[in-house]
Amino acid sequence: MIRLYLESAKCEVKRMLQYKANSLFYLTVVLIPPLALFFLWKTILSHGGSIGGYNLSDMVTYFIVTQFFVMNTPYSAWIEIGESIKDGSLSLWLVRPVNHYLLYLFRLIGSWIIQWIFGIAGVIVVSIILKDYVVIPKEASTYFLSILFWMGGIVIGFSYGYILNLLSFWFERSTYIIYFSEGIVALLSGMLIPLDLLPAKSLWLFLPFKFCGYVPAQIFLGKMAGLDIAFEFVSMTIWIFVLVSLSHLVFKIGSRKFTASGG
Amino acid sequence: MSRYVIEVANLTKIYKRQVKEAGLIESVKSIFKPLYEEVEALRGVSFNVGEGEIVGYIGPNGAGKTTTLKILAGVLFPTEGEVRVLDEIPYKRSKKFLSKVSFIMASRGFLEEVAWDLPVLDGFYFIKEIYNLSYSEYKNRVNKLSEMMKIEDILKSPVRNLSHGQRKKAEIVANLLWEPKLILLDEPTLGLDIFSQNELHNFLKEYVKDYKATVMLTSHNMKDIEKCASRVIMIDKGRKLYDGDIEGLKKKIFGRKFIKICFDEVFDENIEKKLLSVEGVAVISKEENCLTISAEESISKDVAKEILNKYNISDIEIMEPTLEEVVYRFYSEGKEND
Amino acid sequence: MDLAFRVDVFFNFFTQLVYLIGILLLFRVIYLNVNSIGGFNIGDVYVLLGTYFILIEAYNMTFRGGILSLPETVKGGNLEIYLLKPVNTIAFILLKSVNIGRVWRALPGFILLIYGLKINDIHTGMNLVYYIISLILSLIIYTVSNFCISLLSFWFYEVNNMFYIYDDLVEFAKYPDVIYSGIIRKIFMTIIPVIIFSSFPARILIGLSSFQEIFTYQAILLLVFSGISLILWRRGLVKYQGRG
Repeated sequence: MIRLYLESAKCEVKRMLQYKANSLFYLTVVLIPPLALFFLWKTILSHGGSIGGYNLSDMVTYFIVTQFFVMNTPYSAWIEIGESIKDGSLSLWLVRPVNHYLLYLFRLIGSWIIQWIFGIAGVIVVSIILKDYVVIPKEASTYFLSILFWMGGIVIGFSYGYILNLLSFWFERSTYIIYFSEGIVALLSGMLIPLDLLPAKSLWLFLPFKFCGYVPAQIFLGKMAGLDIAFEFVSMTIWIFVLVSLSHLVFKIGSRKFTASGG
Repeated sequence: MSRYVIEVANLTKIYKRQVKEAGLIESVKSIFKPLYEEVEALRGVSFNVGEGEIVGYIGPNGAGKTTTLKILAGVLFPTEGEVRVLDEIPYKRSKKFLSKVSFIMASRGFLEEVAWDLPVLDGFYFIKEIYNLSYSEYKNRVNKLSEMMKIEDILKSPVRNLSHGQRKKAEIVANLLWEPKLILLDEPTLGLDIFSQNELHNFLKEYVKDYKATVMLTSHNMKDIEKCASRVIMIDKGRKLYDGDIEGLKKKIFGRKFIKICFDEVFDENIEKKLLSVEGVAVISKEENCLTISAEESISKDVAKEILNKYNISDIEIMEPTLEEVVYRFYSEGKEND
Repeated sequence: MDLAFRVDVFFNFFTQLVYLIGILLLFRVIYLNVNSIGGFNIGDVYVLLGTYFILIEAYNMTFRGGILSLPETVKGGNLEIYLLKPVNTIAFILLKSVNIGRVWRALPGFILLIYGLKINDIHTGMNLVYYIISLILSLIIYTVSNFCISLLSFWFYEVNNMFYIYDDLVEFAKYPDVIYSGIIRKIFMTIIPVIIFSSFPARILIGLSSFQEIFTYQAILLLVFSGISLILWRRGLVKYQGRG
């Protein structure tokens, strides 16, 4: 059965390969915002010093890494899911023996793979440009763990976005809920500012969005190790279980309300 | 095991729809206190369909045709009533059920959804994986169905490059690759030229014969129904009005034949008066030197004989009313199935 | 038309608020540790951010929809819909999707602007008029530059990512222009003039720069970008094949 989902991902990869002009742009998307923030933090921390335990190198590396992780996490899932509920084209999938959640997760991964590859290239490019300010970990395990947590963050982000899209079963247009939440999730992922520098940080550090950017970045910077990582792994697993279950439940309830308008 | 492929009893479907008056103030009001109305899309509809039947399901816009198909496909839940398709409850959407049914919609198709920028074969291959077909099964069916639908030469083209007709044909092949036992078609010839329509009609009949499948189709194009279906179910405002064969429907509505007579020269009014003096004869239309009358079936032969004997005519034709004329009259006069 | 979708009305406003809160938190953390960023104190930064948000929402409310729809129209071969109307085609495209629902989203920008002026106890006087002129010029330059991107759809099948990149580049406008240096500063003040969009009007309002020098700079940029867009439009129309 997994083959069908892999095939769906493959179709999306093939589709994205049609758009060769996009390849360069995926690279620049992870390059630009860290550059802007680099100039800001360089002006602030140019005379040495730190803010909340983050010196200039930490800040620059943090923003490069979180920019990649967060910009490449599908936390609005796919707007098409909500659109398909509104225009009735969800019917195309309701009449087929597929798990809707898994189908879209794999389709989305397939459509993002090219972006990720070029995103990593963009990270390398910006790291070279700012090489005097970037922290480069020496252990392979650091890279492995960062990416592992980020993949968990992808499932969390996708599940969250998936549930929001399913609100189209009840609301005429839920796209603004999704756009609104994108801003919240970007903030709560730590993209704009490290979560531990925010007021009421224990709340933000409890929520699951930290796995989309903050936690992988902390591991990358070497600010998290050993038992902390183990604890975060268990926490992430629980969140994934909760959100995936909730996704399926909401779909089951929502599909009863589906009116399949159109046609 | 039921002897019927489709069993529908007292099917009712009610939608809730938001309503508001036009204007800015009403728009603001509706934010805080939205109003809803209930729409009865289907009311107590009952019918059964056996294996191998091709059933035309017809009605005016908003009659409830597509709603019925969507309930049969498992897309929608009925509000009341019982539905069984291939011995399964459709809205439970079991894997077994979904693997035996194909629903080809009028709007956006599967190939457009997943393979818009990719070759048609890529879309077919995805279907293979969804329905877990073996490679040999997949290959044989692609070859056979593509040949039947005459689309062998477009299989490697991206879906976006195909014409509407080609896309429609490819969509039909895609939706038959797993050899479904029941095919639900919603407006299958919408946007197709007459050649493609004919090809589709022949294809459907051949497919049902070869694969012992059952077909239920909706269409506003009565030629689809006339050429393919052996039976029609007519609905309007969510209610079933007629269920039977096409001939029976024609007899019920008209019970008459049309006779078109073309005279050697422009006919005068006396001829028309004389024809109308025969009981059971009515004038349908007049052109320069042709007259179309209708006569009860029991006397139509005699009327035609008499016209041939008495008048100088260049042509005479005895016709049955088309299904389109019958359906138009049926809905216009609001007849009900008894 | 957005009012028809009641959920969107509320979330329209809160979306903008969330993004604003994020960036304010960032500056709050920064200004707990420093007094000034290149001569901009916290009140000046609020004026800058307020200007940025007003500019972005003014664009979103007016020209964005029309500009974003052009590539799809060209791709689908439907440009005749506009070309055959007895009106100026460019104006028609630019103005076809004015969206009043978005006026809500500019409100946080105005509040921030006023708050920033209050913190610094600035009395704007004639500078307010110059500010509005400069803001309008920034809006037009921003619009025309986005229009140039949309015109690339005559040559490239997919240009949406170019819009996303440009949106990313406009992030540079959130921060005081003085932080940028070197080749980045040169590029982003001329060829891709994102740095100036909000900094220039803000500078006038808080009294850091004179209207004359800023107006001259913006006017030249406007002429250049307008010229480029007209050339692209004319050449694009020639290339356009229409729907087969």
